[in-house]
Amino acid sequence: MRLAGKVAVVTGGGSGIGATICRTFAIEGAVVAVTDIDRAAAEAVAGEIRIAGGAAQAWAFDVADAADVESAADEIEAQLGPIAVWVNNAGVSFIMPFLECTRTTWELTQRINLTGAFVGCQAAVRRMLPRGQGSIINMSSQSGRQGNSHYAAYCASKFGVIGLTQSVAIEFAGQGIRVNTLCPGVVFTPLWDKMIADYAAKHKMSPEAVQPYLESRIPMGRLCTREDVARAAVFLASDESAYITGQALNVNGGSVMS
Amino acid sequence: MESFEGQVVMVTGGATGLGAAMVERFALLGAGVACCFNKSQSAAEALAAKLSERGKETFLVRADVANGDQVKAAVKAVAEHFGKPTTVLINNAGDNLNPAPVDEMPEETWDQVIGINLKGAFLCAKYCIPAMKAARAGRVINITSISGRSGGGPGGAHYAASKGGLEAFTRALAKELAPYGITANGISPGVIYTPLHERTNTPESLERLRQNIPLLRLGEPMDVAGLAVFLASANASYITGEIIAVNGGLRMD
Repeated sequence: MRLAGKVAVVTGGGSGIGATICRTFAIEGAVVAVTDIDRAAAEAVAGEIRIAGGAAQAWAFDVADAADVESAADEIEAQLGPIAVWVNNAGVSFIMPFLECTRTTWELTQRINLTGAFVGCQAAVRRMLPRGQGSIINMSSQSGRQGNSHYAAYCASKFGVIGLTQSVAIEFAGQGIRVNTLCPGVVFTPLWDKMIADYAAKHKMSPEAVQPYLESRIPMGRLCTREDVARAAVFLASDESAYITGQALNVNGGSVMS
Repeated sequence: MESFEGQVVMVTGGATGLGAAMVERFALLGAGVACCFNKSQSAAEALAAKLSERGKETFLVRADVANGDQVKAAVKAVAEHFGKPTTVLINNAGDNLNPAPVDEMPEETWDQVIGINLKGAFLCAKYCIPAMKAARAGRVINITSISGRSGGGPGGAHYAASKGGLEAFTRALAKELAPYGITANGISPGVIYTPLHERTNTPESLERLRQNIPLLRLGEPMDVAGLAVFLASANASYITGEIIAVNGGLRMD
């Protein structure tokens, strides 16, 4: 077990990639704080982990609300112990023509994906500093490496996450805190359930044609899975990556190489 | 930690530095390890003896990686020794011979470094890939360098060019091999404390380097070995065409 006894906070842990990261961390021995804006979803994942014999507890907060995040982080430390790993995973995603992207959609995307990661990094760094150790993982995307049509708000937020990661990594590396980014390819999660129709409209194809089309453009010929991402997160959270900081690790089957 | 029982890991330049750390790590995880060396015979024998004391047998095989006939023979010898071909190829052999400004660099020096660092990776891949394709599984891990992107140190144009080329080769290989379920990735070390750096730096210049590294320490060979283990494992089966830096934050791309 590579994360034995480490307290790990995962935002957006109630569904999709976040939920799989929580389950995988628990299997590796971590004590997991499953956090989500949807309390019931977080409770369900934490409960499932406990039934499987792991250690987890649920919290609900809005990642962009600094006061909420800070007080939850205090509670997590009081109940579970010092936070060693923090994964800023919560995110939203919308596909739409650029000229139809409203200010509201733009701001919501930046608020959750980028401001949420900023707030999470601050909460994590504040608590890791006195102990001189910690690993922060920010979720970017292959859309954080390469722009895409109909995807400006999301791509901008995910490029931003990489800049945030590098800056925080440099500032706190000397104090033993590592900060890295994961850039997954397309993972079919609840987020994508809502986007498939928009993606199909963008490419003028039927919704059923979306998956084969995406697969045909990936050298490894399959979509990314939640497990692919979670296993990379374990590596970045563990001491195996002790000399790796400020890096953006692509997990995309070869679709974007940078 | 994952087990590598039943895997055959071939590490070029395996006798010293990063290569030796990877030989040791994979051997301790249960892999059959072929330690490929050229000039460092006594270091290779010492490493094999050390691992033998811990109950791990290593297969030593000599080859100049820049020589196709020798590589072909080495790959064949590894397969015969273990009764199965290489499943994980680590192209680690590399050198930074006789650094010099480009206008003063002898053509032979350029050819030698490109030969070991770049052609060597091509040749080892060329001869290991057929068995991987047949098995529809396998891993190629190329050890590049921060200098492949930064341009490297004084007089190191040949080295930097070879490592930049190795990055491009890694990506091309990844695309070619993806349909077979084989991944190809690069590890880009920053300043790792190895015999190569001992030779090309003074204690004072190493200290200056250390102060420029955000994590405030030089890397250790085991820092690179940890990433190699991850990339060779099932945990990284969807990662291909990637160049992953292990540099303490010295460079972020």
